[in-house]
Amino acid sequence: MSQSVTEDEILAPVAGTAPGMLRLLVGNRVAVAAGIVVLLFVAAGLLAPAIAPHDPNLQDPSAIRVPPFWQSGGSSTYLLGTDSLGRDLLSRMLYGARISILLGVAVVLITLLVGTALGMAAGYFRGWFDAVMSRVVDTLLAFPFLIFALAIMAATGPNLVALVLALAFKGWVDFYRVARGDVLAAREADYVAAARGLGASTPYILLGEILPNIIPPLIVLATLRMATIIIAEASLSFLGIGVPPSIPAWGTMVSDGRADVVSAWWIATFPGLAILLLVLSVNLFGEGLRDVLDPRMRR
Amino acid sequence: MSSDGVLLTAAHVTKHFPAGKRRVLRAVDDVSLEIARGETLGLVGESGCGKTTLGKLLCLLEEPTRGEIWLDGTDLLHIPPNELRELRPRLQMIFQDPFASLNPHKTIEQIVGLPLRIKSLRGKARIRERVHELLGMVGLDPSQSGRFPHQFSGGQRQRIGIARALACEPELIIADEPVASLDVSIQAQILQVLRDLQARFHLAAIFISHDISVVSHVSQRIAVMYLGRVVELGPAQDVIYDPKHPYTRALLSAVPRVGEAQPEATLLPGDIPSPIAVPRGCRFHTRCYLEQVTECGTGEPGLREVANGHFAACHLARSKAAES
Repeated sequence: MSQSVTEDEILAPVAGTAPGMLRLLVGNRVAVAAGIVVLLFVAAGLLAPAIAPHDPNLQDPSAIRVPPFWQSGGSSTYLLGTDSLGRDLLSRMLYGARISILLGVAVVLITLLVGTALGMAAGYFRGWFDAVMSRVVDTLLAFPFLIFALAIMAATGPNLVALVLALAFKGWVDFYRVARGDVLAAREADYVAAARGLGASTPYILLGEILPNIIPPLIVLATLRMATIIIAEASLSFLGIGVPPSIPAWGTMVSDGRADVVSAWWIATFPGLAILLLVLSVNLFGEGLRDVLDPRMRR
Repeated sequence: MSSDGVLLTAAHVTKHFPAGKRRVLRAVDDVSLEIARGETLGLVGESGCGKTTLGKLLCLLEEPTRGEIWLDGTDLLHIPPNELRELRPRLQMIFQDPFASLNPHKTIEQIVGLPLRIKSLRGKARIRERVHELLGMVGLDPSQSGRFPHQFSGGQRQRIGIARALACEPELIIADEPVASLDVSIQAQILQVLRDLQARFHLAAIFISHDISVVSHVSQRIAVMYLGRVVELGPAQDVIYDPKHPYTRALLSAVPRVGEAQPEATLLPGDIPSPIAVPRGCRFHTRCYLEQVTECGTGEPGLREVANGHFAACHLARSKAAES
């Protein structure tokens, strides 16, 4: 069978354009599967109020530690069973997805914006700002992140604003380093010199010429950071100093079920599995994205 | 020089780059030049002689360590940044590598339209119309303006770079080896495009090349650079047929001739010295094949007028009157 190839197909690059990259990403089955799982979690979180069968905080004293429906003693009212206070596990899991993803997105967005802005400024202007920032970053890198977050949360008690700040405190450093390094390279590029020679302003050169060229590795980093943040939030919540107890969160649920893990395994297991699956999927998706957007980071 | 008057003046322009402890790389050393309106000046020299740096200095893409640059009576180094930004479109550079000089994430329409948007030409339709007009001028198909740089060949990309420079309505174009990275078959086309546009818009041009034969075809005057200095400057014909500096003579002897006797090539001994350790005295004396006088090793020769409008920086260069 003869195949005719159009000029456009020859000219279409494998990578570099949006359609070309989408094709590459779709070709990576693991990344696609991981992406679908992430989307399901996002949908579950967004739609929690609509699809949760029960109020996640409603305690049913007549249905304490009910096992999942397929075990003897399980009921179709509580598909995944109930916890030691008689709250529906499935509903709490759906709401838990909501807070995990919400916190992850919020923290990643803040750190992405702060880190990129500071990194671009340091890389482009150099000078004293770069020198000061680099010292600050070195100092932060020497800081044990979780211990710092523990200290903050222990001081303020569980509350969402403090939690976001504690998680974002050090996260921006990674974005700073990537943005700074890439801007250092880009500022010497001829297309930047050309734009300057045309009379373009510095803000335009930074945002209009350089930024589009350094975004791909930042997106990859943001995805991978998301997984780290979700784990960190779950860890803090497990320790009881993360998400306030009134809000259902996976970390808190694992902690609640810890004492009963032998007699009522489902209470801690299901939220634990949810953390595992979401973090794994986000990581796999991020790695697929990296292979497409930023091949030089591949190992 | 033409009667149109001087467009750009460079006086004692110097660029030293820091190169480690207490050492400097003397990329460009005390160069003075004038470009008249509509004139083409060829700038020749081996790689590493500072010709690209000089080109960048002249269109203010590098800031000189010392010296002055005047455009049409304006001192470009002592005006506020926003005023300099407004003057920049009048001096445009064509870069050597046409891939590096085009932002890979922008369409051709965005790239060529950027100078128009900076000039605050408003309205998408008007910008598009002008971009298509410019692409037509450099011989590109305007219907391809939605494509990205990587979808074009090297020659086409160089044409895009020229269209972008033209969009600025410049008065001086500094072309840094604009055809060095292209196939030979494409080189002549690109040179022709540049010459046509130069004639059409009465543009002054500085044409940078390592190849004195290419430069001699397109230039009215030629400046020869060696190790950061202009060592010979004069009308193209005079420099080609009656070179006054031994370095220029060596460059010319390496040019292949057709239909005439090939003179024996003058091979220069050794390599070009490092611009970090420039020789004392005449900076060419370490490789010079002429019988030297004491001054060659002690005093740096300045550019002296040896014939009408023809300058050479050599202690041994004789003026016509002295020769006869």
